[in-house]
Amino acid sequence: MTTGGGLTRIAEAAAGLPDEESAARVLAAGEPDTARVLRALAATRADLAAVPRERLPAAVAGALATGFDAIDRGAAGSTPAPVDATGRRAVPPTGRRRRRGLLLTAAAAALVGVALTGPPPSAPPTDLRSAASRVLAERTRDVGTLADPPALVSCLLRAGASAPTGPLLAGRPVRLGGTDGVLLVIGTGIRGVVRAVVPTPGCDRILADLTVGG
Amino acid sequence: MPLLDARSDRALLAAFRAGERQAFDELVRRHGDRLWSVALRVLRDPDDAADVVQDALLSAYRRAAGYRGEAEVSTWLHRIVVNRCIDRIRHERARPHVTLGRRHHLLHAAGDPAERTTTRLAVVDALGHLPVEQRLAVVLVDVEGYPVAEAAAILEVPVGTVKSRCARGRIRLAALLGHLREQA
Repeated sequence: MTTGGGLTRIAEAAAGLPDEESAARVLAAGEPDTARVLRALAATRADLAAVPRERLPAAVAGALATGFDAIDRGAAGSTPAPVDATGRRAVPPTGRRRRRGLLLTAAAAALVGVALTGPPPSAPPTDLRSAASRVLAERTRDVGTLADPPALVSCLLRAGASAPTGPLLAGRPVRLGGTDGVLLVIGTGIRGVVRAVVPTPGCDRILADLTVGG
Repeated sequence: MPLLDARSDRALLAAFRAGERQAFDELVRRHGDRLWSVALRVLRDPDDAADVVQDALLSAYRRAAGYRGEAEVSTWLHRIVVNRCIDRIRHERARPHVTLGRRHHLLHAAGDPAERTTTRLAVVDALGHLPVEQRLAVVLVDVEGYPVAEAAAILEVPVGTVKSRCARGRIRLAALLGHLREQA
């Protein structure tokens, strides 16, 4: 029975390593089960090649078009998000986190006090879900230029969040974990489910992003 | 029905840089499916893949002016997606792996469509058990069919490194998928 190292040597030889001539020698040397390993490798590659090609989902293509538009507009005087020389930038909240109701930037921010600020007078600290529900019930829309849909899209993308998938329903200034932000309650297209996202006033980062309801 | 754009990728990117927005849309049409497939097969989660592809292409859109032409446009776009995938996997390393279940014993009972579907699911799950470097190499070369040299350009590693990662990934997959065990 060929050992793990022997298996790897055969697999590498089958891939032409360390060079074609040496690989040919290994394969011709006739280790006890070279033929069995080569058959297994061939079957594995056949399985891999049979994995179907997927098409870019229309929803993703649509979100991209929206994002390109927002960048083009440079809405509300915004500028494109900074990108470093290597092309990498901070990883935004993940889909899992965004879509499944977890918080990223302000870890466990749902458990952190959220103070509603500005008129009407400041309310006692509460959690973000409650704040979102309250702002939504009051239909408050004290969000400045972010009431403009292109400005909203631009702000969220610039802050590293995903673009909205529904209209702005309500919003107001908040203080989250001691940092000023703007609570935005946005429709998701799913009945009873809204997104509560809190960018900083300058849209340079996201303080919280979670799904409420559902 | 839009006419096919016969311009090369480089010509399209140059046109985009000169102010023709539709030229970038055409690049997305040409390469979007493949970029999506790579992200989906590497990350194995459609939500994660959606985030990565959007983030990567928005980034490419913003920094197209910085494209220096040293790599093919396709390679450049794939490189951005792959780097985003690597970032994502490293941030989510705490996520539990999918456990390979009994369905892997069905792999050689090929024939009807349901069993072929089971086989594909098993392969996609098994890919998740590879270290990220091996997974990327195997996805690019064996799943997506890129030449080794192009995969090396995307991953920014020597050709020999891609071959080695593929070889080690394949032998591990062969064991996971039961090809070695069942022939022993």
